[in-house]
Amino acid sequence: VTRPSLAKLASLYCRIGNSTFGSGMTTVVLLSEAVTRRGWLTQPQCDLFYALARVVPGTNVLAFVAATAHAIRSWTGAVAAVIAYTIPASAIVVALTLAYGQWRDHPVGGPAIAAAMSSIVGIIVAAGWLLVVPRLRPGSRIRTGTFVAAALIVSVWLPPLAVLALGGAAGYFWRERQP
Amino acid sequence: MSLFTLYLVMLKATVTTLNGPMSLPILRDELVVKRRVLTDAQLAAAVATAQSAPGPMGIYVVSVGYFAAGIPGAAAGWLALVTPAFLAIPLMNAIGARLRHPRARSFLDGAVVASAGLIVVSAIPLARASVHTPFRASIALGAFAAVALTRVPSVAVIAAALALGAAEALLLGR
Repeated sequence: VTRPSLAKLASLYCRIGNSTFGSGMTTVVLLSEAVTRRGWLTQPQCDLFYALARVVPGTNVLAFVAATAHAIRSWTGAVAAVIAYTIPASAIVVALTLAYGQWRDHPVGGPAIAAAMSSIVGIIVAAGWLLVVPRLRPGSRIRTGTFVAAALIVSVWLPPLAVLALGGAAGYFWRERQP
Repeated sequence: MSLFTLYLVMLKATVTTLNGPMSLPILRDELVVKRRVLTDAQLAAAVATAQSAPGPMGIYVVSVGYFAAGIPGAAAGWLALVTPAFLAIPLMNAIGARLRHPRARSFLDGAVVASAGLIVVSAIPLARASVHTPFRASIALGAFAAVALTRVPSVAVIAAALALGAAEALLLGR
């Protein structure tokens, strides 16, 4: 296992992180390949970090970025990698948000943005659906369906954080049947 | 609303959830419903911009921060996005093994499944704010099918929706 310079580390995370769209999984796969190919980490290390990143609070891929960079170059590496990964993308997000403000009243841009907003509704529901799909295995369907339906109902009265806590508590007592 | 409060509100959403979409219902509850510093249309626009940019989906909090308080708000959103990643490092080292315990995994799994219901609920007001015609409803349905069933990248879906919306405006404008 070798230790790269901070500039090399930041450059790699910036390049890969800011050239992938959509699923964070793509970033995880590309980063894992890149750091193992360079001998900075081993594949089992990357696999362990990804498994843990999925169960700690926050954005999975960011936790993976911070953890792998921390393993490579300690805290300076983690800070550099997270900044390199998020700052260019954040600048693009701000630029797009500005563009939204300028184009929303345009005779053609306005309806185009409104159509994009409509597509976001479908994308958000799809994000929920994609969380559920892997948990619709035989033996888990009733549990998953019950949890989703209960969350839909209790969200009328309870704030989202309380619904998540209730979901966790219910999950603790009603465990998924192992295949 | 002070910048620090905005940061704390966004941090509450990012640090108590396991991924980008999960934080959406909490942010909506805090910023749209309770504090009224954001509209549903702006929240939908924030998600759209993040989906059109590289990086994780959770990066939409940067746009949310911008809508709420301009560039300083965007910076607060960025901080709220990255803070949990740094907190995760000692957490992974300290309790990594325990998090793999079946009971702990089952707890997290229950929270994730509940969040799926919350995500659907949070889409309802966004739909009220943006889906006003059968044409736009068909775009929403098409976007769901494309992402959920065929795994088309969401950035391509948004680009297609933009093109369809522009085409509709040009055709109706004639």
